[in-house]
Amino acid sequence: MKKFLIKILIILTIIAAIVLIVNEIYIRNVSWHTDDIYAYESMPSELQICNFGSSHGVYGYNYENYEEKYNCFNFGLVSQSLSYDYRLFQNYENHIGKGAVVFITISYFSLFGKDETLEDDFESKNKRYYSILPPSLIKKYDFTTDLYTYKLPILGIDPEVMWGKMVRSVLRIEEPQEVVDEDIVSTENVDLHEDAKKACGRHVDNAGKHDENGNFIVNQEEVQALYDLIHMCKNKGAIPILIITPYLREYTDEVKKVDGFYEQFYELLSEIAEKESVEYYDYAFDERFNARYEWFMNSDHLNETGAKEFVDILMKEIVFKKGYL
Amino acid sequence: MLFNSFSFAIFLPIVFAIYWLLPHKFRWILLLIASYYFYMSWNVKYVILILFTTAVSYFAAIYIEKAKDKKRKKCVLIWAALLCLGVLFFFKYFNFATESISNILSLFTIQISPLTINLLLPVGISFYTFQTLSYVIDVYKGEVKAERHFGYYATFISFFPQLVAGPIERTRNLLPQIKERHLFDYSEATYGLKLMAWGYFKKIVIADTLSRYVGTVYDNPQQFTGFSLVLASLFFTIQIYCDFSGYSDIAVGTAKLLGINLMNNFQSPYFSQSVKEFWSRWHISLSTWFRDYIYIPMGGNRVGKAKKIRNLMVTFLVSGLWHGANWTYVVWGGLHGLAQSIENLFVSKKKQSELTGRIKWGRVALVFMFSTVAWVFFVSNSLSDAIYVFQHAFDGISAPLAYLRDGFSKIYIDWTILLKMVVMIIPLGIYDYVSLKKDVIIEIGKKSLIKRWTIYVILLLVIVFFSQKGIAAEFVYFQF
Repeated sequence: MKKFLIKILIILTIIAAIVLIVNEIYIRNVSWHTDDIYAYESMPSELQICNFGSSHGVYGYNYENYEEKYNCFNFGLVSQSLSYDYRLFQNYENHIGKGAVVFITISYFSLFGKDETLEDDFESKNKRYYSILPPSLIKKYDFTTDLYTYKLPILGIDPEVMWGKMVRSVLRIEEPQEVVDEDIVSTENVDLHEDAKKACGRHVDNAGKHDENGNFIVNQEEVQALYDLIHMCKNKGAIPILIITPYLREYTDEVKKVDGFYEQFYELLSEIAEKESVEYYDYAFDERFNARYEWFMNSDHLNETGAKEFVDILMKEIVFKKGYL
Repeated sequence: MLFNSFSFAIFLPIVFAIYWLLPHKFRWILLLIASYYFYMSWNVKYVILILFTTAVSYFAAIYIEKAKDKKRKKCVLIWAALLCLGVLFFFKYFNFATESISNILSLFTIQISPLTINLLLPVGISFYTFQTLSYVIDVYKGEVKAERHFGYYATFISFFPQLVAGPIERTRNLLPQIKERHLFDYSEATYGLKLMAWGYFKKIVIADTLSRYVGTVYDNPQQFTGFSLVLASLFFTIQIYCDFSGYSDIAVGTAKLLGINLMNNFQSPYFSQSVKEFWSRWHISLSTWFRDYIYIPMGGNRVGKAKKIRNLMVTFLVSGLWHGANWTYVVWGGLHGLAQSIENLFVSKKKQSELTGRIKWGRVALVFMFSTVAWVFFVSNSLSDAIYVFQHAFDGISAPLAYLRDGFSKIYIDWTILLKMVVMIIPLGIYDYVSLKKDVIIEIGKKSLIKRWTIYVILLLVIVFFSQKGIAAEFVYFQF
């Protein structure tokens, strides 16, 4: 038995050592995160301006013109819920300076609908947080996912992709060029009406289920997370500001078609803002944006230029005007 | 708890450690607890079913042994079989039976909506039911003695390595081993581990990779035409073998770690030169079960040609139905029965050693192609899906290059993935070919330390790096 156990120990040690070495080489040489996750590694301390939010947060704010003067950070991640905004704040609260301006982006889908953990792609979205949050703050934490996505990312790569890279590097064949999606930078090739219809379906129709009276079902967990986030900002001495980012007319027109949505959404948002005495700004119908196609990548997301313009407006109309900085 | 899950990676070392630390007389208790825990990890409620089947067969066997009157013995046997099969029928075949009756009646313009029950099929029910049946029948025939110790017997029925997908063990082989005093045997234990590693390679590297492409096509075959259908069918032929034989290897290896030898369930089936030989190499524990408890009692080979064909057809149709409550399985079984009947009638009975190499390999290829065709029924969700596959598999073949290229691209296989498949399948082919004459694991064990450790380390690294991770894909045979 002793011999058996020793041999098992030896072979496991060899395998573990090889896996750790290859993992280390991989981490050092390959971009295994998306850029927005990498950004968390270089988050400035004593943040003065930051924002949270889903894709509307990710693409809505570009602080490039202000980064020299102020410590800024975009906490937004695609499809991020308010409850994850709150968890990120909890984890990174030491980075947020006193008196910091915190833009909390409210997307239409963020207050209504089903429990996020019941969504089909919950797991793939949830994986992102293993690299930036501790286990206690991750929904449905699972050790194996942690192992494959954060601790040993080499094991998380799709074996087909890994094999393809290996074969190409051995045979010295170049990787096929990824097709650049031009829609990312402009609306030029986008059928905006079709895009708005799809986005509205995703954000409003499907995300917010109706109850028997035809009302959208309020997602209490997300609403509570918004309250908690506001409280935490205030306790930290930061200034929470609720923001609805600009959209193109095609998108808002489509949302208008959804019976009773706007009424219910604004009623709920006003109630929260009033109750917590926080400012909220709605740029969804702002005429400076809703027909500026060159500032959008699709019907509801700003592009880089648009995001810089939007931050400019926020700074001038809110931050400087009110003397927050 | 799947063999390819993290929970099993924790469960097995714990059971292994406690098992060898415990005195012999308590080991069956550990195995019983571990086995029931293992089974309950799927669904706690279904433990009642296995307990029921175990209790019925346990008491029936004792009663049969005690009874002096032959009629009474037979009566108890029939009742025990009916009760055990009744549970299986209720959970597995009830909906199928009512739907089939309703369909048949509708042919005579009698419209009745079938009565269906929404029940989850308890995992492994077909396997342990057959194990209990073989025990009761063997006691009835006087081939084995009825076990008086309920604990030993319950452990024999529920022994976790083979509980959910076999091998379907015979009383003579497994029950005495559960009672026997085992001493730790280094060579047996290392053999078990090596076999497990090979099983994991087959399951999580080969089968799970292929299942991606098979699933893409067979989940909705109507979206595909041409070579992609052929490719998916070929992939399934390899996938099902790697999936099931991989499971069996892990099961046999796990049992070996505990000093128990389970029967070998696969012996290079795709190197068979006839369908008959295929069935002596594929799912051996099931095919011998059908041979011993259905085919031979019906007369087996010792009858005229017509009756022999009848026996073969009945055996294989029942075998098809055993696999699943769907006509696709019945057709699959029927095809195998038909092929063996044709072999019996027309194929030369020359000894294999008398055949030339070319004829041997031709036969191997033919059997492989036949099994691929039959698997189309097995993997299809319905008979109409299977028929669609046959109707459209050769669409566009008049332009062979485009036919091949489209087939690959439709299921997103580029040349690197194709190369990976080939590289994965070559060692499988070599292993199986060598296994026809030698035990590969023992042969590797005879190599120098550096050579054999290099093989072990490479095998484990391939499993670690090239397995489909993050998903613990179920074994195909768990659904039976």
